Amino acid sequence: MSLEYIVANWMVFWGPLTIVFIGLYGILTQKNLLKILISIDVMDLGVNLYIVGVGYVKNGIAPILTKGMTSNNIFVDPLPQALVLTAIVISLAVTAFSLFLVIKLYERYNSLDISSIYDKENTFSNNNNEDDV
Amino acid sequence: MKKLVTILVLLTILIFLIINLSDLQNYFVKNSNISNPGLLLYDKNNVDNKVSAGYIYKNVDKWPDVQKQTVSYGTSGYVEGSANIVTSIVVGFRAFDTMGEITVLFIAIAGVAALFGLSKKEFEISEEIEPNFVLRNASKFLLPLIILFGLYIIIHGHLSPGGGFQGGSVIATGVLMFYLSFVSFKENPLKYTFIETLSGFSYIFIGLLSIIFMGFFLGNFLKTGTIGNIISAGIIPILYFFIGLKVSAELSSTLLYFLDKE
Repeated sequence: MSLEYIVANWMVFWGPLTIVFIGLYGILTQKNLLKILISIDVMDLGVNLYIVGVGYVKNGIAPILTKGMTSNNIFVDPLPQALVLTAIVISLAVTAFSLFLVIKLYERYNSLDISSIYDKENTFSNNNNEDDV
Repeated sequence: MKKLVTILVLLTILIFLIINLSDLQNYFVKNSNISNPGLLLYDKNNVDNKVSAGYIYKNVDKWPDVQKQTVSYGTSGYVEGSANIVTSIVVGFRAFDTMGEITVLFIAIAGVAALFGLSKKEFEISEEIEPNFVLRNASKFLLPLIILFGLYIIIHGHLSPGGGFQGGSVIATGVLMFYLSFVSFKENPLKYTFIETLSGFSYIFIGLLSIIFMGFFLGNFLKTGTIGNIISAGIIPILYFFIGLKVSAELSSTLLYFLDKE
């Protein structure tokens, strides 16, 4: 177990896993909708870091052909990077849509707290039932 | 109390994952030479064994001979002429997948636009609030430079880090700064929708042209040229330019909806 091995394991495996769990903790404990969204983004970041890290090659450089490059240069695997590029764009689209949903929820309930939204929704439905009867 | 329970649940999942994912680590380590305890995770992570090798060596047809092939800056005559290999994969090898990606982005923005119609208009930004003097004057100076930088990133997407998605985001940040500094500035989102639709259709049109010339969808039917020149890599820079236009228009119109300006 050399130091290099431990650092590499942290960089590729345990570090992203920790970030995913920080995001999961945020989703489970926070009550503010915006904070939940930020936690989902943090989880996204952890998964993306893991995917990029899997493609790492020892002493690899960025996969771009440049002037003055010798045949000794080794590229890192570009395929996970392309996958992560796709994942980032899709997470951006999902975040934009859910942020707009949060704005609509705030307009309806005047609150971002999920428990108070739940209470208001219950009172609304109870009132409606009474009207129906 | 609830946080304590959450932490306990998370710890349980973590221990479960550690026990089970240790096998996953063995998957990486399994093929490597155990007598050399260096970076076990990476020692066998050889790109030559992967699909990406064909793109790194710019040779998909003669895949077993890839190690003998060398490709360098300033040469020509290979399958893809793009110097940035990530761009080769995103817009060359997986161009159809990228079409699905921009479709996802379009659907998200269409959902935002559909929800915008339900707005009660209670939370509009007051036009009496005058932004800071520094912001107002600096944004007039900075907006053209930001758009120029975004266009540079888009056009050099096949030569340097960057591309359509990144450059489009840069242009959208410039537009956001302009909105924030001039509160009374309003724009019709239909203009953005027009640009977006036009670029999306151009992407598909180029793909259909490729059916005529090469026989399959989104093939690289132009000459690839010399690696490292701006005019090289066939249709890749053209496709990335349309992607950049589409992303910048989509993000700008989203910002417009978020700031409640119509």
